[in-house]
Amino acid sequence: MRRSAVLSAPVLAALMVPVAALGVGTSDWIDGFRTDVERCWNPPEGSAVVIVTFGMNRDGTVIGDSLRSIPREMAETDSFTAARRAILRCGRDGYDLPPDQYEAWREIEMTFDPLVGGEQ
Amino acid sequence: MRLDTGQIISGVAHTGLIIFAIFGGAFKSEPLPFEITEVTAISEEEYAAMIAEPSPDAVANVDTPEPPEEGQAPELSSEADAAPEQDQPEVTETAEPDPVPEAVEPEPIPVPEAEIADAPQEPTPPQEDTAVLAPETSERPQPRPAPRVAPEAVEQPEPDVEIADVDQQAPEPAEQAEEPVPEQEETARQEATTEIVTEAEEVASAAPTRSVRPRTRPEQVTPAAQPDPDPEPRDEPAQQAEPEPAAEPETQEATSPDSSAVNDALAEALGSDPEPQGTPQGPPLTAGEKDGLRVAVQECWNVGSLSSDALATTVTVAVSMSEDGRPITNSIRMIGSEGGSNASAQQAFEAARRAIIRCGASGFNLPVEKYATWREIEMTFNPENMRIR
Amino acid sequence: MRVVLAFVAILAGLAAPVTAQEERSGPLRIEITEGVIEPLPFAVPTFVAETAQAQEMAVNITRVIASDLTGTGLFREIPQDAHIARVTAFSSPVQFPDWKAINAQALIVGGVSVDDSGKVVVRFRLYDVFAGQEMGQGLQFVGTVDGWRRIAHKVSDQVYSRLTGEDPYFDSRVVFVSETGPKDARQKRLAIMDYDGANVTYLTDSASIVLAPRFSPGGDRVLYTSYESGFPKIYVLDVATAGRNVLNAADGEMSFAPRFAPNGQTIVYSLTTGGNTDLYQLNIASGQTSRLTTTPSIETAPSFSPDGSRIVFESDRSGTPQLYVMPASGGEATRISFGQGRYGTPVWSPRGDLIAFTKQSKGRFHIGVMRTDGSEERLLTASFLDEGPTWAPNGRVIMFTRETQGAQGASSLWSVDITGRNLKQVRTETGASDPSWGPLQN
Repeated sequence: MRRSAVLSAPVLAALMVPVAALGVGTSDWIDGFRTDVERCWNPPEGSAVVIVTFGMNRDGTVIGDSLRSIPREMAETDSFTAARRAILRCGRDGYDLPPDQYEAWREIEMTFDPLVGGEQ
Repeated sequence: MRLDTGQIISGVAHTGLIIFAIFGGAFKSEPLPFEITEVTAISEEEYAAMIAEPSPDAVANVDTPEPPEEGQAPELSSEADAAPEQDQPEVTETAEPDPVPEAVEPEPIPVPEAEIADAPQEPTPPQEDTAVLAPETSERPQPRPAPRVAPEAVEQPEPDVEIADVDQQAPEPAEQAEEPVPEQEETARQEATTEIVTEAEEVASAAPTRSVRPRTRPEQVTPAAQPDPDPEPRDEPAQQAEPEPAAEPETQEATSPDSSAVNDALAEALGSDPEPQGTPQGPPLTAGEKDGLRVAVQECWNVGSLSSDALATTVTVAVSMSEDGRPITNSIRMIGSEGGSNASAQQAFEAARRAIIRCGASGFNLPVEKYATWREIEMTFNPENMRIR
Repeated sequence: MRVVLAFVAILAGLAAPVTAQEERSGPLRIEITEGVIEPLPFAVPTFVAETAQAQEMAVNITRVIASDLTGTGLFREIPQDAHIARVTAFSSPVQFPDWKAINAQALIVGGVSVDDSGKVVVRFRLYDVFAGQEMGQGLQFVGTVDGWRRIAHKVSDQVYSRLTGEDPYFDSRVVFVSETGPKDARQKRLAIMDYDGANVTYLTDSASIVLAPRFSPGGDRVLYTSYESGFPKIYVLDVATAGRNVLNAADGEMSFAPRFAPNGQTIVYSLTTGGNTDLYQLNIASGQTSRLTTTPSIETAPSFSPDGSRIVFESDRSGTPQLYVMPASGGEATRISFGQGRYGTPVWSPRGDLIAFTKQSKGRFHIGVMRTDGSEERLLTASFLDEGPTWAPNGRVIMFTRETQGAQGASSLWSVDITGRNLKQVRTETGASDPSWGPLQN
């Protein structure tokens, strides 16, 4: 069951511009990306929200070296380890992302938030 | 247990990042099923107990190394310092601090070529948000970091050339002057650039991340380009007790702003007057001459080691000059300061004083027949343009 | 015509004093607005050994002083083999022309004596060579053989502050994480060293992961984060004894990123509970805690202003990590970072005028500084990974962690002047990260 996050509206509006500029079908591959990573994500009980930042190669593979946690002190936690594992494992053969829009996805910031509750 | 591990992945993008803009319910608005442990306020007793006895677990694991050595705190005692005996200040006509260049036309200083930073050039995304400052145009030559920052850029000398304060070509026998000149190694001024370049700027060549200090006027009037070049080295006072009577005033005349017939006559008449105490007067210093003095002092005004306080302090320094163009060291005094504290004014003054003494050691290039006009000089040292932060 | 000329000449002669005075009535005024920035050349002849046992120490002390000054990037030592004059006694008259001849603008003369009981006495004088006079007063320091380095740093501190006007910083220590082993199996221990890398001592063993130690304002304690319980938790360690305690022992919670308040009695830190990370404050003596932020976003990396009135911290409430400033008691936070990229690990300068931070943008990491209102942002470094700045006690130099890329990548400590100049590595025997610069020692 999925829940979703909403970002505050003004921020979203500002950020929507470049996303909209990315062209048709943007949301498709974003959704696809999210789904791909989720498939490998198994957060342990009691996981906390953690943000993971990382860089991508042109072929859709992850630059393994570049994975970082925010906050950085969570780098050794199970929450981060699970997130990191998800990104790397499901990305072993590269994620399916449009090469012509590489500039848009060469740097990623993903928030992993284990929530419970019914689907929205 | 209905532990529905919903998951949310969202990403945030700037240019070059992506947002996963997925709308849904409120962000974590529903209560969580598992126990929320609140932040426990530790009671005083508990805490005292904690402090008093470290938990055995903690102690067991810690391999208590030797406590770090705490050297005995050095005591400070200032003795009433009897000034060490000093030889009476002697006239420094002996060894020159800086070797004097030969009397040949100094070569123009080469300007560094436009540098491209060696960072891999990545294709910049279409919307370049240089949030902080506007990017510079690419035509502007990129300054590289160098050990020395000076108004004029100096190219990196050959590696085997010694670094000295003055450019100096290895003398070629053919161009020797009449007097035999001691063998001097070829020296070159230390590589210098016109502004400070941080690593971050070096890398991000396209879009510098901070505003560059206003560049000094590249067409700085240098002593080499003086409108009235004085080929005779002036720092040989022994040979030039009095200025050449006829030659000098006429040379000065050429650039004097107000050359009237009367002044011509006056100058000529006075020039031929050998009286030493009749202080020769003439027209005031030309802009070129003033510039020459200013540039000469600037060359020695080193603000690199000054604190930001001192860099915010403007000091005015008075100095009396002797006729040979040298500052009288004991006469150098601070007569005013602006901005900063007393302490920072002191620092700024000391740097200014050093500048005057060092670059005046062999005499400034000032026309002796106008001595009256430059016998007393007040220099204001304003580091506004030199501030980095 | 000739008559006229003569007449004019005579008149001119008579008028000479008058017009001369008129012309001399005002001194020549010029304004100097441009200068040069270059290391100031200085000379420090080996300190005079005033007792037989002091020979080696005199050489060592002189070397440390020269390294301290040269290491700032603001000074350049004129090597001893270029010296013309020789200093054979502490009080012998200074041969200024000899020092001028080699362009030494500052001269340090000193003497060292060591007695049988191990007492060390060091005295020094500083001269402005071109002005031909002493700068400030001669001073004398008394210490022990074991503490000779501190004495040397004290001398350099005096010279440094007299010449630059800055506050001193050489007699200080840095606590950091010493790292050994391959990247995926790093062993980490807390260590402490002199600011220049000497005198390394280990404070913990490598049984568990430790992170981000932070010195107390008095230099007597260190806060750090450890994973030994399985979760990141905050510990306080006493530097003198290496004894330590955990601060927040609740299960299932994570606490990290602690910092002392300037009064040394309160700590601000991040606590993750219920999946959410916010800032909290703890009074060490009373154990009282209070919550400072209540946002659903991640709040971390807090740092106090030197007057204790405000806290700068990192928050992703805008959607991406940025820097915010709020009153120390919590309350409305003002955003101060606006550039393109992610900002984190803010640290307030001890001078109160700047905030240092880590910025990640376009795949690169930078250490930067900005004014406390966010203006005048300047990036000082750029590399694969730079992070975690810490300030020297005088607010002029920043130390940080630099990591190199790849499986063989290692962490090391680097320092840079706030002008961006003098970027260099602080040599450590092992890999090193997470430096925290302690206060000037008394």
